[in-house]
Formats: sequence, C-alpha cells, structure tokens
Amino acid sequence: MAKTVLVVDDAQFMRTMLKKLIEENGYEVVDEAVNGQEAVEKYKEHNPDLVTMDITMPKMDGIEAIKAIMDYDAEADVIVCSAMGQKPMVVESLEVGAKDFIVKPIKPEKVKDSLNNILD
Amino acid sequence: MDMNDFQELYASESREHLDILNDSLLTLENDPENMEMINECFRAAHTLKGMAGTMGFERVSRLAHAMENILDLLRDGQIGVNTEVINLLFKAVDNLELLSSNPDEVEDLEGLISELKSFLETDNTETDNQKQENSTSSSSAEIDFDLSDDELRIISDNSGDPMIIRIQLEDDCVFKSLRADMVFEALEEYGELIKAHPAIDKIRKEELDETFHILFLTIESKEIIAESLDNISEIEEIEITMIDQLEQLKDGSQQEDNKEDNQDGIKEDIKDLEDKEIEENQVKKSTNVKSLSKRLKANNTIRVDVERLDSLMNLVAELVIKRTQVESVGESYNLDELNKKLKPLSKVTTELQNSVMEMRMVPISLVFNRFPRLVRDLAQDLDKEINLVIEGEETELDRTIIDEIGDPLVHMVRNAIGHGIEDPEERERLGKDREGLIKLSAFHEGNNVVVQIQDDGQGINPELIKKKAIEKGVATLSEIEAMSESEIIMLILAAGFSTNEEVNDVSGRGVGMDVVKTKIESLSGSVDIESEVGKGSTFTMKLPLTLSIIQGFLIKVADQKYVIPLESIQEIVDVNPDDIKTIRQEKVIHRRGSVVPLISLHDKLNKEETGELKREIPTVIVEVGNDYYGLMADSIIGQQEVVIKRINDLSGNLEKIAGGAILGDGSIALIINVEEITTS
Repeated sequence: MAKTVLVVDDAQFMRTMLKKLIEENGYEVVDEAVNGQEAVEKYKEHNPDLVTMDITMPKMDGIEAIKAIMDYDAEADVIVCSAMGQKPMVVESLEVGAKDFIVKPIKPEKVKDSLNNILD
Repeated sequence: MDMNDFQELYASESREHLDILNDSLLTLENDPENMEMINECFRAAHTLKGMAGTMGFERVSRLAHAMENILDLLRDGQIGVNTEVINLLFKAVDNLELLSSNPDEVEDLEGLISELKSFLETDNTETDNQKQENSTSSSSAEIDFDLSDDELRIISDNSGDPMIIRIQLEDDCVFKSLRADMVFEALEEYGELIKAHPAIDKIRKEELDETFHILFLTIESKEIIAESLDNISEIEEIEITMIDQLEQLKDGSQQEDNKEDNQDGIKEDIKDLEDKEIEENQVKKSTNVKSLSKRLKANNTIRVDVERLDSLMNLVAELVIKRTQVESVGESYNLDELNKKLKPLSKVTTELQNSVMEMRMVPISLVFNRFPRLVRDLAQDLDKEINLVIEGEETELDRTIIDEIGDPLVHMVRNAIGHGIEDPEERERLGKDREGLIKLSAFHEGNNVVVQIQDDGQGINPELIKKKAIEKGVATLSEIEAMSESEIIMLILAAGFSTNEEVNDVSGRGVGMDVVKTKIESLSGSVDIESEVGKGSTFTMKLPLTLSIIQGFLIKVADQKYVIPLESIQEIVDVNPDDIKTIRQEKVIHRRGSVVPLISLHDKLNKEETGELKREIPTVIVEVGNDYYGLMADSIIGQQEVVIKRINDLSGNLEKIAGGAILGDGSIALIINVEEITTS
C-alpha cells in the first residue's frame, strides 16, 4: 500500500501542487488541512506516514502544529515548507522535530528527493 | 558514436580555451603572483588535453599535457613565473593554435615537447628544496584546517580514524547553513567533529559556498558515515577520504615540537587531495570562483553557427521583400481591409528583422583580444616599450564587420608600433615616457561605431608625405600645393603609397594603408587620420552598426553598375539582335517555346545608348510573378556578395531602384527593383 501524506497549507494552489507532486512520486495524499488546528485533528484521524507543513497559517501556525503532532506521536515525520525569508522559523521547526524542509517556490526535484529521503 | 559530429564543437571550444590561455598568460606575465591566472591556465590546458584526447588528436593532447605539467609546477610554487617560462608557454600555445588551424605548418613539435619537458626537469631539481619552504604559504586551493594543539590532542587521544568529508550542496540550495547543520547533527551520532572548513561559526552565518569540508573522527566505516548523510536533502555529492598521515599522531610517539611538521603534513595531504579533486572534477567543474572560463561559458547562452544566423537573416530579408510586394498590391487596388491587416504584419517583420540583426551583434573584444599578445610580441621584437590601453571592448558590432576589421586593425596597430612609437631612448631624449602609449578604443556615435587607434609617437610629417606622394606619382606638385595639411596626411591612404623606405616585415607586409581604406569602405565605413608631429596620431574608423548582405548579380549599364537580386534571376543569355521580334510594338524573343518581352535597361534607367551595334546583347532573364522578362544590359559582371544600404527616399518617388549596395571593392551600385522595372 502506498505511503500516506497529509498536506497542510492555507493556500489552495500550494496544496494542489504538492498533491500532484506527491502523487506523481507514488504516494497517496490522504487528506488536506488549511491550518495548524485542522492539521493536528486530521493527523490524529489518519495517522499519515508524512506531513508537509506550511509555516504561516491562520489559527495555529506550522510550528505550533508540529509541536502538537510530536506530542501526540514522537515518531511523526514532518517536512516543513517555508518561504525564502523564513530561516529562523525553519530552524525552530527543525528544533521541535521536523525532519526536513523545502523552500518555496518549490522545485519538483527537491520535493521528490525530500519525500524519498523520508519515506523510502 | 561518430566523432565527426563533435568536430565543430571541439573546434569552437578549443578556440575558447586557447583564448583563455593567451589572456591568462598575458595577465600572469604582468602579475606573476596571480594564482587565479595560473589555475586558469592549468584548467584550460587540462581541458584541452582531455578534449583532444577524446577526439584522438594525439599531438594536441601531448603538447597540452606538457604545458599542463609546467603549469602544475607553477601552481605549486615550485617554479616561479619568469619571461623564460612565459615565452615557452606562449610558444606552446601558438603551436596548439597551429595544430588546430594549419597542422602542416607545425615545425618540430617533438622538439618543443622535449623543450617543455627538459624545462620541467631542470627547474624541478633546482627548486626542489624551495618546495618545502613554499608549501606552507602557497596555493589558494589548499584547505587549511589550522588545527590547534587541543584539536590535535583530541585526534590523538581518541580512538577512531580521522577523515575528511567533503560535502557539496546543490547549487540552488537556499538555506545552506541549515543543510550544513543537519549534516553536523547527523555526524555527531557517529563520532567527533573536529573542525570544519569554512569554520562552523562562519557556516552558521551562511558564509559558505556549495562545498564545505569537515574533519571528522569516527570508529565507523566510510560507508556508514556516507549512509548517515544520505537522507539529507539537497546534497549533490559526498566524498570521504581517510587521512593516513594523522595515523602517526595516534601513536603518541610524536613530541610537542614535531607537531608543526605534522600540521604541515596534514595540510599537504589535504592539499594533494584537493588537487586530485580538481583533477577529477575538471570537466564538470563549476567552482564558486568567478573565473574567466566561467564568464565565457555563461549558462544562459547557446552557440549557434554563424551560417545558420545568416540563413535566418536571408529568410527574414526575403520575408520583408515579400511583405513589400503584398503591401503594394494592397495599395494599388485600394484594398483597405488588407492594408489594415498588413500593418501589424509589417510591424512584426520589422521587429523580426531587428532581432535577427541583434543576434548577429558580437562584442568587439573578439577582435581586440588578440592585441595584447600582438603588441607584446612586437614590442619585444623591436625593443620598444609599449603600454596598450583598450577601451570599450564591450561595444557590439555586426558579426560580419567584426570578422572583416581584424586585419585592417592589425595593420594599423603594427604601423603605430613600427612607425609611430619611437625607441625608448629616443622618447627619453624627447622628454616623453620611455613607454609608448597605444590606445585602442571603440564607442558608439549615432548609428555608427567608432574604432580608434591612438598613439603618442612621432606623428606623421606632412613634408615627408608630400615628397613621397610626388615621388610615387600619387599626386602632382600643383595638386599638393592646393591641399590642406590634413588632406596631405590623408594621402597615405591613397593607392600605391607607403611612407617607409624599406618595407619591413613589421608594418610593411606588402599591403599599404590603401588596402585598409578599401576594406573599411567596402563595409560602408570610413577612415580618418589626425596627426601632429611629435605628439602622435589618431586613426579613426567609422563603421555601421549592422550590415545586410545579399547575394547579388552585377551588371553594367552605360558606366554604372547595377545589382539584380539573385533570387529573381532565371538565366543569363546572349541575345542576337537578329532574333529580336516586335509584337505590338514590344521587343520580344522566343525562349523555350514562350515569348519573353525584352526591356532595355538604358531606357528604363535613363542611360544614354552608346549607339554601337552589338552582335550579342547580354540579357538577364528574370521571373516576376509567373512571367519572364529579359533585361538587356551592356555587360555582365557576375555574382557577388553585396552590402545593402537603404536609400532615404525623401521625395517618395524613387522608382525602379530598391536600394544602394556597396561592393567588395568599395564602389557603389544601385539595386534594381525588378518588379517595378518590369511593370512600369
């Protein structure tokens, strides 16, 4: 069975794009979430193999969401999706347990490598 | 794989590397400490060797190899840069050039190779002792971990093997420092991180390039370490090298005072390693160093054969002609709808034409680049001291012009050095700098590009010119007396004039300034000279920015030359006046079963008929639409490439003429508008 991924991003465009890339690489997008709070709920619901997590989101940001997810499942694998200027946030995400990061604008090759590194 | 397919690529690329060699050697001669240039030369020679080897050009490959060996010694600081070695390297470059252009002219290649080799041997032994001393201070490529006593102690006290891990990140990696951190973190699980290069705090501040090195101590194997880094994204390449030299440290037998040596040992070892890397990565090398070779090979350009551009240009030119034809249909039938639709089409074709023209623009540095070397060699030969200043080398000109102005420029620069600049002693006596100045510059002026050659030499003496002009019969005494000084100076451009008594092989070369003038004029440019005795001379060439060149067919009517565009010509026939028939008051001939109307170009172009009866009339059969016409001329000159010049038709009633053309000999011809001349 294909490994499952939860895509978290408040922008429809990013979700669509990531979904396409994830599916192209042979994984299944089990659900999507538009903010941190929803992300935590859906993580608990699906227990996916991987989460791609946007940082800047309404209600609960990505870092808080990672913390909450790690509290629930210390083995969770999360990839942070950051923008160019967000280095401090990336550092923080890695500190709270993210396994990898990708930088927007995302490049298909990089997403693929990152997915494979963690899921394979 | 057919190697012939790569022939062209090889030719153009090796040309580039030879240029790099020439440039870098020149720079190096003036700046012997310039490591960057030595590396540049080394890389160029190395790449040439590899390319030639792949192509099976064994002689090129061997010569490049011999050069590479010398450059390697220079790079290591084992031999110093001096005139002898530079001359030898230049000689090798010259022969490499010959090998790729005129391999038959290469004399005694073996001699040269053994000369290079023997240079290697003698200097190597002489300076072997210096090597030791130099090794600590030399080379920019060396990684110096600069280990402190504490760090050395850590290495010796702990179990495990020291290794150098080279990490190369993908070049579009955004947060490099974070990736580096992830590497450090992953490594910490397996052993002791001794030091990084660049230093860790620098890496944290993003002060790193794609590549960084880590000195790492671990009991694990290379493979396990490599695997542990495998899951980190954006890593292009990992290379792990065990350090044997450090093995000695762990024995604990080393005394404090020996540590210095060991440090050197490590450095040298690391340096060797680096060299090896450079060697291995030579081809795909895209180092962070902003190097000459990189600038030449910018990724966002592609190479296109000039011929292809030319054919594109010809197609566009034809498109423009066809457009004009359609436009005239629209106008003569008052087809408003068509005319309206044609406007944007005409705009697009004009833009297309302009962009093709632009594609053909190349910087004049392509020509200027050869002068530093030429001037250097000439100055050496003539025992003169010359400072060459080049300005505006980025100025762009049409490729065709660039190709053509090389020789005239060389001629003029040779003249300036040979005749203009005085000997250093003479200059000193005159209160000038020992070093003569030659300035080569290019700049835009309106729709032209101006190329100037200035020297601060002795100038041109009008008195000598007068005397010589009369002697050579270029002008008579009375003519000269009516001339201004600048007009007299311009006489040196006249055919058959050469001021120097004995044609020496520096500036003479059997051609005079008249050839230069003809050449420049054939490119629809002009030459001007300003000169002041004792102060120097300035030669100014004005050249058009772009050139349109077509294949034209030249004929003569009365005393004037005309061009008929080649694509409309069907054939050339000699018409016997007896064969001319008259149908409805029109002169015609029979040709292959059809009737061809004859058109007298004398009539149409308002030229006087010579009146003499000819037994055969040279006639050009042209096709217009689906009809044939015979254009009767006085004589046929033949096919030629001509440069088109647009004629500004201010009065708006320029008929039968499509434009002007400048011929190879600089003279002017008019281009016949075949459509108009056959219908009017």
